[in-house]
Amino acid sequence: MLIVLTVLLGAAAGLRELELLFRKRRIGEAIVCGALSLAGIACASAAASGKAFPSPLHVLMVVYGPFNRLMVSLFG
Amino acid sequence: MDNNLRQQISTRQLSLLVIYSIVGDMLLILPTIVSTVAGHASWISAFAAIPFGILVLWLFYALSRLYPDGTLMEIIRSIFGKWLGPVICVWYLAYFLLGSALYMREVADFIKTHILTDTPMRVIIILATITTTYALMKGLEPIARSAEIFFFIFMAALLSMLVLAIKDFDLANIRPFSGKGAMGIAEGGFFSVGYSFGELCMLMMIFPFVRHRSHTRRDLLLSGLIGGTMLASVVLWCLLVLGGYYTSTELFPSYILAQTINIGNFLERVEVILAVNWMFGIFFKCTLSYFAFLTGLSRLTGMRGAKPLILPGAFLLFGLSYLISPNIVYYTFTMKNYYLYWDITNGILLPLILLTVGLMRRKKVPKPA
Repeated sequence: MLIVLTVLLGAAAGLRELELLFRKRRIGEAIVCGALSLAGIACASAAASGKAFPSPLHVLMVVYGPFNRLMVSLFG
Repeated sequence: MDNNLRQQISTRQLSLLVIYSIVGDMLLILPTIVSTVAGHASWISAFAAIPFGILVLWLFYALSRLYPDGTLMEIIRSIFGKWLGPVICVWYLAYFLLGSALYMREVADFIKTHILTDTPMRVIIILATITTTYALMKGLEPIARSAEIFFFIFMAALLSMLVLAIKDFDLANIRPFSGKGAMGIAEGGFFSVGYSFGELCMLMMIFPFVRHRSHTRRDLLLSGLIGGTMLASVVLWCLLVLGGYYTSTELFPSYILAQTINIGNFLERVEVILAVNWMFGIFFKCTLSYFAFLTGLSRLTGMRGAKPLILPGAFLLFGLSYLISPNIVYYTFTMKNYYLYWDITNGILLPLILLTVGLMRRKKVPKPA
């Protein structure tokens, strides 16, 4: 129920902005807005589900992991 | 935010926003992290970091003055070109987005742990998202004006906490002065500079909206000094009152510090009032970081304004704030071991490279005959 509500609200917010942008014939801006809306709906739905998802911070561990290991080996 | 180009904030408003952003969430988490690595000497780390932090602020200002009309996105694209530039811009956008989600999560975790223990985390995040979104819809100028309005209360509450806690000082708590040694102090200094000042690179998205005066740089650096001193004082106070062990093991030692305030069994239990007041700092930092993300995205994609992105972006902010960390242990671990490098990369290394390349290019431009 919560997920459906989140998707509906997200879609309503996105469509509101998209309608204004299409009316002004700003197609490029509408694409950016649509993509952000989709990302927002996906993230908000995942949060609304309450299930465990991989944290975005995990990317930091991948990117800076080797450097962190080097620092630990050098300075303890 | 469509009319952001017409919106301008004064130097004073910028300085206040800088103080809020330095103190912001660091008031809650910095004492723990610094005292974990520097022990009893964490106050030395925090105070020693102030001059370096001011240098970082100067770096941001100098870079923005090289390209006075451009935000960080335009600076990056003009220096790194049209291929590498957008890649670094996206890197910064991810930093601003995850940063704002992280600040929101910090405040939600704090409220959930200490104040509204039975309220679901998502409800707290939704309320914070609504506040941030509303502020962004009004624009940068109203945000800066509200920063002015709340500043007196913010500082008065913070200073009163420091003054009222003096009676519980125990100088034995900061001995031995060397703490965990020179390496520990240096590491603590890195944390203090990286977190408190490095994260202010979002200011480079705001500088084009500032009415520059002859004293803008002085005021900016002065606000860095004030914010850094306030933060370092909180670290010192936590050590003096709570001791090194409790400061490093408590999740939010500043809140525990506020709990110790008791004047003649008459003035007590003021910690919630103080803690709610601290929310101002986190709110402004989170809002500015999200402003930087939305403005950056709109500039990168050539949009005329960021207003159409605010509402859809609110859902992204809500979702990311919840998903960014499964629990507070994961969050603390990541902050301590990995996030610092990201802060130093984006807040110190990349701006330094940008400034160096920008200055070299400026020198290469032949002077007109």
